[in-house]
Parts: sequence; structure tokens; C-alpha cells
Amino acid sequence: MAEQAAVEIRNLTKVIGKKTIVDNLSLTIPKGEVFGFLGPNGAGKTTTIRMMVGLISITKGQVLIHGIDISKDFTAAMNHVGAIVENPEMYKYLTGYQNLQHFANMSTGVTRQRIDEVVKLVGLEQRIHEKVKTYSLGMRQRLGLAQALLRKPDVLILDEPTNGLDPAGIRELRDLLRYLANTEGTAVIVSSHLLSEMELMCDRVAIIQAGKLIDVKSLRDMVSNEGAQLATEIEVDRPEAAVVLLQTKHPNLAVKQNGDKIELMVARDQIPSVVHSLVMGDVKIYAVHSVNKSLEDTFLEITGGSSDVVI
Amino acid sequence: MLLFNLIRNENIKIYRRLRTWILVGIILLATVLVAVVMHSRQQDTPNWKQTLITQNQEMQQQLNHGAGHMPAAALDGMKQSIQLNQYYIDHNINPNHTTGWKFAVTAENLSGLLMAFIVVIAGDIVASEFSTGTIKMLLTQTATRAQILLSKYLATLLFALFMTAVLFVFSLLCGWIFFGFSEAGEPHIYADANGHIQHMSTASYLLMQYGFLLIDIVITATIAFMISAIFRSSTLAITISILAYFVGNTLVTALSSYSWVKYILFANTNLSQYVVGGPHIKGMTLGFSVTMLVIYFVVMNVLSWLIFMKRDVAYT
Repeated sequence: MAEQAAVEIRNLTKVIGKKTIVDNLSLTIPKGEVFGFLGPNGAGKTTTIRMMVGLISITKGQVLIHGIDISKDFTAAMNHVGAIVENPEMYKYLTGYQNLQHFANMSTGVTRQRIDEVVKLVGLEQRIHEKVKTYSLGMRQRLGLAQALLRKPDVLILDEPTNGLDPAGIRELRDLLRYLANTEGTAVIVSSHLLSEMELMCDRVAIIQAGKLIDVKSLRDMVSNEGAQLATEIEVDRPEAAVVLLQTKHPNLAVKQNGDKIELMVARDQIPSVVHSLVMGDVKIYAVHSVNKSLEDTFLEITGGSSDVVI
Repeated sequence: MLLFNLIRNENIKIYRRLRTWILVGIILLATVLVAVVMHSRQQDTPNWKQTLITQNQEMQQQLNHGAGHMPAAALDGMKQSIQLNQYYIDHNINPNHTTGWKFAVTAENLSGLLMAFIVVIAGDIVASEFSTGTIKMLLTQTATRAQILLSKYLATLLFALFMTAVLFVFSLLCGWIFFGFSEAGEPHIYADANGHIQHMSTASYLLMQYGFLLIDIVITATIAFMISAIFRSSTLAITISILAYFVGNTLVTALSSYSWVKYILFANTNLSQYVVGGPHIKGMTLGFSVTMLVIYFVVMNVLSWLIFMKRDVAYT
């Protein structure tokens, strides 16, 4: 029996007026995967997420959650889903706990015990009985996450989840999402315009620009591995001499000077021989860095470098 | 079961807010204030007969002069006042003599305040979810939009009922404390639709007025709720509904000489006109008003429902 996808998006399209905001998007997200929507502001990430949770109507196409069409049986589909769309807005005049009770009342089978469980999971035990208006943005994010986890969702949809979290909070969130994906098989969908964050958090990312799916990349593909050519920088005392030296000793390598450094593309197992040549040529070496090709480079390459992405 | 829980949620959101209790407090305060003022004035009316006679003479003069340029409804009202005063004089009934029950009838005139407060809650219940952004959280649970809207509407009506009950019970309490518990059966005198003087027991009259008031309240709350659901603005919903309630009635009186006015909602919201004082517009019947009310009620609810169901909840 083929494993049923946690989320399947088929030809999803949103047209407002004459403008196509999301253009024929198709994606499949399996259980247990942390999946990222990456794109510049206004690329259609939030619009896609809003269609996936029924906040806005779907012009064309389908969203299937465990095979259930969200437009046909909203209640059954949403029973699998926990979501935060943009900032989690809570009732400020109620306490954190009362807010969770409020959302628990809206679903069947969420017990008091489960409320306590999620409060503990997001680390809000200390302040849960205080009014939300006294919470910091980071605490509201945690409360939002607790709300999203109430129904033990198989699909967790988080729009810009790290907004307002401090570095420690971001790390905890990352660990929590990883735990949910690995241990409970939750499919986690996050959106962000922060590349570095996605790099650390996701198994795969979809790069979206101007409402179109540009590419889906597995992050393991994107990070260079053994045998691949690495961009390497070597700090030396005489860069001109070093370039000439390497061009004669290793004519197959592309070497260029960059200030007091030289840059070259080289396979990992070739680095020792490069270093050896430099040492034998009486060039002093201060440092050797190999620069991994990051998601950022790939992203800029794919989207043609035009974006207002915050790096 | 789910609907029950949703209504409970809406109730929590209404009654856990200080605002709601301030409104209740104002209603209580206003009732006590009216009681105190009426109580202090009660003793010094030995010349009530003379006062009524003077009043009648003044009104008669106005009638004689104003027949051409005053609205028909205002003239009718004045004629009835004269008739009533004459009845009091003839039967030696001091209209200023207040009993606990009569006080409750008088306090029912605070319904304008009551209406304004109900409209505040009704106009806010959908719009505030949009203005705070909590609508996103509300609509991404398992409940459908129809269930959420229905629960909000029912919670609004329950709140309206609660506030009306507060006024009813508290005005009776104040009446009994300030003016005594007895005389529930004492006749209340009024002019009927044909201008004849009638009387019924004060207790029955009070209950009847509250019955008609509830119909008015349901309609006005529905207006506020509809504007709230359609325009997502509490301010707009509250302002328009309160204006409509107060200006609407005045407008109907001012335009009472035109027969098309009877199709305006506010000509029909106060059904007590068929028992007391006669209809605003000549030729209106109870059946007509009830039909108009049902049509307006259904149209307003269908509009709220259609627009709330279809709305794209975008960047709040």
C-alpha cells in the first residue's frame, strides 16, 4: 500500500481581480517531513497557506489533507491540521490558559490533560495563568504554537513561526519541530523569508517566486558533499606568487586572487596537495577555509538574484 | 454539542470583559437614579389637577395653531395626551402617584439606553475578531464558518435577553423598594389605536411592553450584527445601528404624512403602536408590520451569512 501523503496540493491557483497571486502550484508533502515555503515577501507563501487552511477561497485546484479535500469536508480535513497564520493573535483579556480552553472547546476530544501537555511542551507553565496582554511577542508565539498542537495534528502549518522569538526560542522551536516530525510523524510546513533559518529547520524547501513554484530542493542536495568541488579560500602572504605557483603545479584548477586571499574550486581530497605545493613554494599560509555553497547562493541563483530577502 | 460549546465560548468572551459589566452597571445606576428622582418629586404634587388642566390648554392651543405644518403623528400624539389628561381629571386619578409596578413601567423608557448597550455588543461580536486578528485562529479550527456565525448570533441574542432581564428585574426591585410592592392590579390607563381610553392591570401592561420591546431589540441587534459581519467594523456597526434606532423613529414620525414610509423598517419595529396610541402611519395593520419585520429579519440574516461565508480573510 502506498503511503498516503500528509498534504497534497494540486494546481492551486488564486486570482484576485486580474492578478494571479498563486499560479498553478502543485506539491506533495509526506508524513514526518519538515517542509519549507521560501520566497521573497509577496511571493504568495502566505496566500498559499491561507488557502490551505480555508481562510481564503481557492480559485482553482485542490488542497488534500490526508486525502480529504479541504473545500469539500472542512471539518474532517481541519481535524488533522494545526495552524498559525502570520502572528498568533489571542484574546488579550483572557489568560493563556483560558485562550487554550477556548480553542479546545472548538474541537472534539481535547482534554484538560492535553492542554497541560501542550503548555509544558512549549514551556509556558510559569505564565499560563496570566493575561495574554502581559505576554511578550515570543510568549505569544509559544501560546500560538500550543494552540496549534491541541488537536495532536498530523499536519502542522506555521507561517513565519520564528517572528519575535529570541535565538534560544528559535532553537527550541527547531528542536520541537524536529521532534514532532521524527517521533510523531507530523508533517510540518513552515514559511519564511529567512534563508538561514530554513536551512537549519527544513528537510526540503519549495522556492516560490511571483506565485510560481520555481523549484523544490532537498537540503541534502543543496549542501555540498564528499567528492564535490568546494569553493576554498586560502589566506597567504604573497597571493600573486601563490596564484602563479598553483597555476603551474595544478593547471586543472581555476585559481584567482581576492585581496590577500586566493580562491579556488577544489575537491576535498585535493586540498592537502594544494597546501603542500604552497608550502614547498615558500608561500606562508595563515588560514584555509572551505566555503559551503549555502541555500542563500542557490536561492539567489535560482531566483536570478532579484529579491528583497532578508539574509 | 459543538454549537453549545461555541456559544459558551462566545459567552466567555462577552462576560469576561470588564466592558460588559460597566454597561450592566450603568443600567443599574440609571434605574436607581430615576427611582430617586421620582421618589423625591412624589410628595409635592397636591395641585396635580390644576397642572393637567394647564397642560391641556397649552396643547389645545398648539393643536389649533399647528394643524397645518406639524406632522400627522405629532398631532395625533397630542390629541391623545389631552384625552388622557381629561380622563385623569374626570376620574380623579393622580397620574403622578407612583407604585412599584408603575415605576417599572416608567423605567422601561430606559430601553433606549438598553438598546444602545446591546448594540455595542452585537456590533462588536464579529468585527472585533477581525480587528484583533483573532478571526484567523477562530476559522482555522474544525468548526465551519456557518457554525461560528450562528453561535455568535445566538450569543448576541442571549446577551440581549440578559440585559433586558436585568432592566426588568432591577426596575421592579427598585420600584418595590421605593414605592411599595402592592397594587400590581391597579389599572394602567392608555389610549388605544382608535383613540379610546382603555385600562389593564399595571403588571399585564408592563409584561406586554417588555414583550414588544424584545421584538424591537431582536431587530435592532440584528441590524448591528449584520453591519458588523459585513463591514468588519465595530465603530460603523455601533454608530449606524444607534443612529438608525434613534433617528429612524424620528424620521418615521417626521415623514408620517407619506404613505411609503410604512415600508421603512422603523415604522414597524415598535408593535405596541397597535395596542397603545395607534399606528404611526394611517392604514398600517399588525399583519402588515409583522410581515415587514419577518422580511427585514430574513434579508438581514441572509446577507450576513452570505458575506461572512464567502469572505476572504486576508491581511489583517
